[in-house]
Amino acid sequence: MGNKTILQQVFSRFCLVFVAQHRLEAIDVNKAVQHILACRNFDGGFGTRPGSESHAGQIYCCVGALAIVGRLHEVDADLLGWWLCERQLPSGGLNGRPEKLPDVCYSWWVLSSLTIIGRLHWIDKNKLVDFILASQDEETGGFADRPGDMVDPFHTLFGLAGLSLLGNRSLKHINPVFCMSQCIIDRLGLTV
Amino acid sequence: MHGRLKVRTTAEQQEIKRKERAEKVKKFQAGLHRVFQKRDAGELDAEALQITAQLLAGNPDVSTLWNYRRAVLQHYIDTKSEDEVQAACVEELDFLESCLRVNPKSYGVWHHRAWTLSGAPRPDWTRELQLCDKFLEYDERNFHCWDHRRFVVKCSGVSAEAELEFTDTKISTNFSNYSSWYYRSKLLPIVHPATDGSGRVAEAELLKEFQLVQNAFFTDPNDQSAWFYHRWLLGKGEQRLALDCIHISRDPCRASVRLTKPVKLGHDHVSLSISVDGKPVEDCRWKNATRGSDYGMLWTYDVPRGTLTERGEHVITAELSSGDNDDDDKRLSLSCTLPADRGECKMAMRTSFCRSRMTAAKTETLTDELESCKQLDELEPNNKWALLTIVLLMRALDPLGREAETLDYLSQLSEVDPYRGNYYRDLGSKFIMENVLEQQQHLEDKVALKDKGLTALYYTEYLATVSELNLASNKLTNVSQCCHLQCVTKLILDDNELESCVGLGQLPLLVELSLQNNKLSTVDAVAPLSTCPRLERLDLRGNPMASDCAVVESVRAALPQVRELLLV
Repeated sequence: MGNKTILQQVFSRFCLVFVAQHRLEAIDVNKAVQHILACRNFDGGFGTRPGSESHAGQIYCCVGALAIVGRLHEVDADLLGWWLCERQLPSGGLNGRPEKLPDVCYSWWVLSSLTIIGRLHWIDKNKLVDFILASQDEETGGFADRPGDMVDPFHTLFGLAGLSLLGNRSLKHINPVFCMSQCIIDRLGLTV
Repeated sequence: MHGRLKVRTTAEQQEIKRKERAEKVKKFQAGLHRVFQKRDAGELDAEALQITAQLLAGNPDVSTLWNYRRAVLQHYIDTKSEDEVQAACVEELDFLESCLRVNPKSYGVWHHRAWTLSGAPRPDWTRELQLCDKFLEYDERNFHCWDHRRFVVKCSGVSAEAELEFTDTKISTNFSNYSSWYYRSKLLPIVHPATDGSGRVAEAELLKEFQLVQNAFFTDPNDQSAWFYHRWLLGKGEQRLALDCIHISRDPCRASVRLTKPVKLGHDHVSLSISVDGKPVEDCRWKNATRGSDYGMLWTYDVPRGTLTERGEHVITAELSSGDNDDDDKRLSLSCTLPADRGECKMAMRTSFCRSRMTAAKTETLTDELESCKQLDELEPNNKWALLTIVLLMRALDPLGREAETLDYLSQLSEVDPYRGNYYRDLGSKFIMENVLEQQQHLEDKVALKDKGLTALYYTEYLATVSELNLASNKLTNVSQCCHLQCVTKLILDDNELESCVGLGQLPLLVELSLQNNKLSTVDAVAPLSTCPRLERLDLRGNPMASDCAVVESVRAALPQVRELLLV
């Protein structure tokens, strides 16, 4: 893979090969991991490509990819976990990087990353649940990026996924790596 | 999709909007249809550029349209004269700039801009840098623009020194400059590398950097970027792979080796071998003590019977080899002598967990900084950044001497910043473990960690040779890290908050385990213990399961090897 490949592509390739075919040996995993590690930054996070600033969405792609290939020990879990838990703002919502606004979709990117590295308890779960629920539109249903905004399917998906990770048992358990119900992952016989 | 406020509209207004949207969709789909017709017919011409431009101006993230434009431009590059291609690229760059004014955060637009510059015969890099300057003035945090700037810098040979100066300017004029500090973290080790090959920054520059970042966070104590950057300045370089400890025992006949970082033996050219009295042991099958991963720091090997005599003295040597080829092979070895009348022996390298050798200059800089942060804390008692930085500075300067003070500040932090309370408590647990291990240099047989307020277990690989461990009266909810306790015979975990025994399975030497007053309520919770071959005494009193006769019975049945099982 050339250095023009961005991390979303690395992660989605891993997922496809792993889920669809369970044939990771079809990829040069070591080279892919070296590329991911080249995107690692001073704050423990990962950016789009080597030299890019850390961003929660990219972090999810990297941490998820490393989880699939069993290389999570390459992540400095304490440093990254700290950066991720600092995404929680006074409103209870999470942003994607410092000094940005909270956004329900980051309830997924940040939360799933924290879960994968075993640090989900480093945020205040109840406050985040309150923020996500406040971003619901009680007239039309669905979730928006933040309270008062227009709803859309993207934020509805990640709002529900975040609530599942936060322990809402009226929802199925969600797998933090694949963003799919755990029962589907189990049925496919996949372990990460 | 982001930042669109829900505005209440009447049914009539909604109908007007619906009609407008329907009209837009119709036009767009008609345009798309025409584009696909042309593309399928292989038409790579000016009309293609014209139609795609109209569509992309309002919808810059339709990758397919950018792909088609690239096909057209590539055709020009392959067939037209250099001047014609240059003209087309200049026009393309102008079009892209107009797209950026509408949407400065479109992946599609920035990517295509970089592509066009790569294909242009005479790209104007100076103008490109000016464009980046302009867009960074609009939004200092636009990472697309920063990435584009780094691309331009690479293609045009701008020096890292010049870019470092650029970050100087940004930092001194703007707030909200996380992106600039971040870029500095990449440039500094290139412009002023440390001479020890650690990938860190040279000492003189590092000390100047402490001054710089201090000015920033005292000017605006609520701007996070400088505090994050400061934490990085305090950090250490990466660990080198090496042998850290070797342990050998006669019963069970087993060797264990600890490395300084996790490896997967047999992969990436990393291998471990053992020799007894100078004779290599053939065909070592190493087992990873870490569960749930192929990688680990602690590896054990069940030495074949007869390799060691029952009472004789033996010299055991472990050798680690890593590296891609024989010239680069870094062989490291560690030996220990098993005395004639002893059942085990161990040898460990002196590891520093929290103390690091600092120059007088650095100590002075950090001491001054600690004083200043304490003054800031007095002025702004709720500033968590100051509190956390005080903690980190105390750890750097005097981790053992200031332990109580450090834990006190962490406690304050949990009150000032309650959302992250669990983080501060886990951090405190990590510091406590570092101090314990620093003091006893991980060669003690018995370690007492009772009533330390531990919420998490760190560094259990460094407790691998401990035979008795007391973790009672802490706040542990998870003991998965106990898998590294390969020599523990007696383990006390009373008065914690355990709901499961995951991590306590397969402990090869565990004889006595006390789990009084936890939250174990089902037979599944204790099921892992059935795999502890030598477990004889198990105390489960004070757990929720004790009140359920059915559970009590199934626990007894699940753990037949346990002779003394206390439940009530």
